[in-house]
Amino acid sequence: MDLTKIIKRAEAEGAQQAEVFFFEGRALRTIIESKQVKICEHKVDLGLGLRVALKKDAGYCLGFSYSTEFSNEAIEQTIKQAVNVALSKKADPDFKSFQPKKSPATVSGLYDSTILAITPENITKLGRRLLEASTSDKRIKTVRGSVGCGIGKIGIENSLGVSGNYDTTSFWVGVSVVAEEASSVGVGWGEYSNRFYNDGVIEEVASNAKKLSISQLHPKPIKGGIMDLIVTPSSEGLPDLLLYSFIQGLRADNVQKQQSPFVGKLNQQIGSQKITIIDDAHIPQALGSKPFDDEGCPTQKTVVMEKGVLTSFLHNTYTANKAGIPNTGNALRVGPFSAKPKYVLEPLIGPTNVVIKSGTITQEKLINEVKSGIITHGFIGAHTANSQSGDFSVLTTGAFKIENGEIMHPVKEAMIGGNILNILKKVELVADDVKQMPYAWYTEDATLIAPSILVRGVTITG
Amino acid sequence: MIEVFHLMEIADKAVNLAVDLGANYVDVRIEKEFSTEIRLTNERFDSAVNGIDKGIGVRVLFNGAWGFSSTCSLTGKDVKDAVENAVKAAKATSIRIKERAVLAPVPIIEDKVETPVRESLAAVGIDKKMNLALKVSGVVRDYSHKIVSANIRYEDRAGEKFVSSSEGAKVLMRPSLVRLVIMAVAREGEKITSATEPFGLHGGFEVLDWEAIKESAITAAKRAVEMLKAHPPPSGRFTVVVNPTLTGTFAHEAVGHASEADLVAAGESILQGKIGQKIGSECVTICDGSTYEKGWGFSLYDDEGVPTQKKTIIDHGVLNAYILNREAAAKLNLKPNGGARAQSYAFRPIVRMSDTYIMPGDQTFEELLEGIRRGVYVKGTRGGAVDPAKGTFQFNAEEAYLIKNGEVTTPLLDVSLSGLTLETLSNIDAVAKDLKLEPGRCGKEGQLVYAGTGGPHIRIRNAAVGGRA
Repeated sequence: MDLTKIIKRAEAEGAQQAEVFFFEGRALRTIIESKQVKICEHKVDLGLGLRVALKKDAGYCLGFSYSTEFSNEAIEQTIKQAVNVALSKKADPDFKSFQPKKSPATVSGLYDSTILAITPENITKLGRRLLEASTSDKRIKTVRGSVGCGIGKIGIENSLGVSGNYDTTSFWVGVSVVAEEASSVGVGWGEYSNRFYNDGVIEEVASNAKKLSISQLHPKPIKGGIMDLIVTPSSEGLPDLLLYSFIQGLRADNVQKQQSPFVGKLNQQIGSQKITIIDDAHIPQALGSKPFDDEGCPTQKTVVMEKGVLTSFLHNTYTANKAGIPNTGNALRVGPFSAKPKYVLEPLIGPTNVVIKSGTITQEKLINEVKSGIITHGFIGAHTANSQSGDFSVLTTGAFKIENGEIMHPVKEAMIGGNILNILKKVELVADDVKQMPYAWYTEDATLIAPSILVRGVTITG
Repeated sequence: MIEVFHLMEIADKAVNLAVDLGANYVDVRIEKEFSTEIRLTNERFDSAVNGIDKGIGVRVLFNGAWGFSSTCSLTGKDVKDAVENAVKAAKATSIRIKERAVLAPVPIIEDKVETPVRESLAAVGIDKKMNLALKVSGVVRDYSHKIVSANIRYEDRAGEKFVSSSEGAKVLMRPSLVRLVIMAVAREGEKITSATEPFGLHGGFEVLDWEAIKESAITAAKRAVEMLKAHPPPSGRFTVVVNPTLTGTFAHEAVGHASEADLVAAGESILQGKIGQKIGSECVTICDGSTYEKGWGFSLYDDEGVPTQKKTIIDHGVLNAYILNREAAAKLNLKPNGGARAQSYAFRPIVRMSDTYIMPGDQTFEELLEGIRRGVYVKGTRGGAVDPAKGTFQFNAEEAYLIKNGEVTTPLLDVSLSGLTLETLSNIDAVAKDLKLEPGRCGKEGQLVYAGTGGPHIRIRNAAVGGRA
């Protein structure tokens, strides 16, 4: 498709600047339900999103539209709609320009050609392996899961000379199981996602889920109170809890709208000295890695918290221009659960790979540090956290009681409530067991990479 | 109308091709949908988009195994590829299959249904919709200087959906619906509070009654400002009075999800095997299914082309029905009740709720408060989560108040409510008569669908209330 031609036509319709974003994707996945490989799905999607900037009064107005058809008429219609939206707006004095031309960053590990060759037969076979490995214990009562892979192409061009595209692949495995014994129920899960195919991971994911569910059988209630909490890197709840209570607050658009707990807190010590957090788009094979963001800005490594000091927010061209500082390359077109295709959405701001810097001690040593507390592998209700204030209230799942440095027994749900700012201040130790996890909200566009973390003195309701 | 015939022709061809390729059953959904989405913060549009989405989803059953395929292109070649991919996928699933899917029989329907519309959503310019959002934002911000922002979300969708199957079902639906979500954010010092009021109905642009919208906008602003005075809540077990919004969240999250027959059939629901059993107190009746006039999640047919019906999930405390698709109905030996829905053509239909609510009782709100020495009144919801296999839930209220000697008193901050679904159903001891349904969205297996929730004020004894650290 000739994106340059579309830009020229939009300019002819009155746009001072135009930007075309192109997305093409294919995905193949198999789903396990009711202890059975239930269905195999194949999806094809492609489309383009067009932004225009029209000069009006003292500033510019932005308009957006999209299309899945590429005939002359359809493109003409898309341009008209985008221009109409722009004309309906008041000029925005803070809009300066779309992304100027810059060389994209060099990022390795975006594309694995093995994935091109995966057939429905291959993927259902992986599904059967995942199912068999998950059910090899008689106590496993239910299994739900999926194995999938995808290929994508993203292209972007604008009036300022930005012009580029890149290809990606993805591969993911996820399973959740329920074990039952003498009317006691234990839930467990396992998950893996990467840009590259990994055959060997199937049994490992199944085994983690199985082990966790069985170890959760016959839980005991705990007495509430103020105690220590260890959070392990696990896909169930933690990425989304941090996304809602913390990462959304780092978005410069939310900060500029005064809808972030971090308004006015830049360069202040807001967390414990033990904690350093980096948004890093250059990690090989991680799902959040890419050479340029969804506006064509080269991606980078942005330290957002250095030893507890808030050092940077995440920007796109608009917020960076408004603040008069360099763009961090965090423009992201993504909807809830990534259920909407990227091309129908205007770029906002999002994380790439959020890395909580690893410590040097093992998880076991971390547990040894706890006199009385709990270790939890997951959270329920993470999405109810308040991203404007950082307040949250969640239930633990996959939690165990720790006494005198040893894991004692599984715990019936406990409730943890608080504010992320308080929690960050109370981080005492960070382990070395780093894991990469996807967000349920940003399924294929970002990851959290974190180790186990010990927080002292958290209020837990039994 | 030529366009509609064209959609039907594509569907016929796709169904025939799948059967020729060996499919034992196939259903096809073709959609062409106009939609608008506007997101406004104060006076700045974060997003204002309208566009047309179209595409086809093909679902195939081969030897009791499922395959699904979708594409956003309706050209002859791309549709043919999609059908071939769906058949290939079903054949791959069928390898070493143990339990074959069977579809419970349903009447074969040929019908055309249309939401009554006076002012077509596609014909109203986006500028008019953007102006409406601006007006609502103005009402919220004018309420008080403590309001720091108004977030307005406008959504509409209207179009054609055609469901066609190899059994002969041919259902053409023309839905049209529109929703406004009004969120007010207030701030005083370090304290930030927010309140949300949704407003949504089936129909055209005419359903957006300005007086009603204005009232919702003021309510949102008022609630956000009131909560600035809130104090941290006590934690422990209390008698709790729940407002219609949060009652709806409980009905949907804790009971509705557990009544979804795919979860029941998979052994992942606490309601498995409990039909006919008493699981709640006498005053609790919970339904799924409403009408065009009231229910945001309503549709006359589901995405398998099956007529929908009102399901009484719990009837005076007794578990009475599950929400079923055809496959789960066959597995559980029950009659399908039209509970299969998909987010769009690009997703397979799965068991979903439509509008889920607790039926009203005969008491007043004041009667519910009577005799409560120390309790908590919880209002609104910032979402919730459940584990339907374990029967646990956790909801965060948007707003809460301490109840002292039968009176609503001090506002409380960030109150959450958690518990066991079955225990809670038995602890509901009073139900008011003030039913209210609200429009929302529900996510399951990566699919978002429109769903309504609601109920009256209810009272729960001995409920676990928590706050922040």
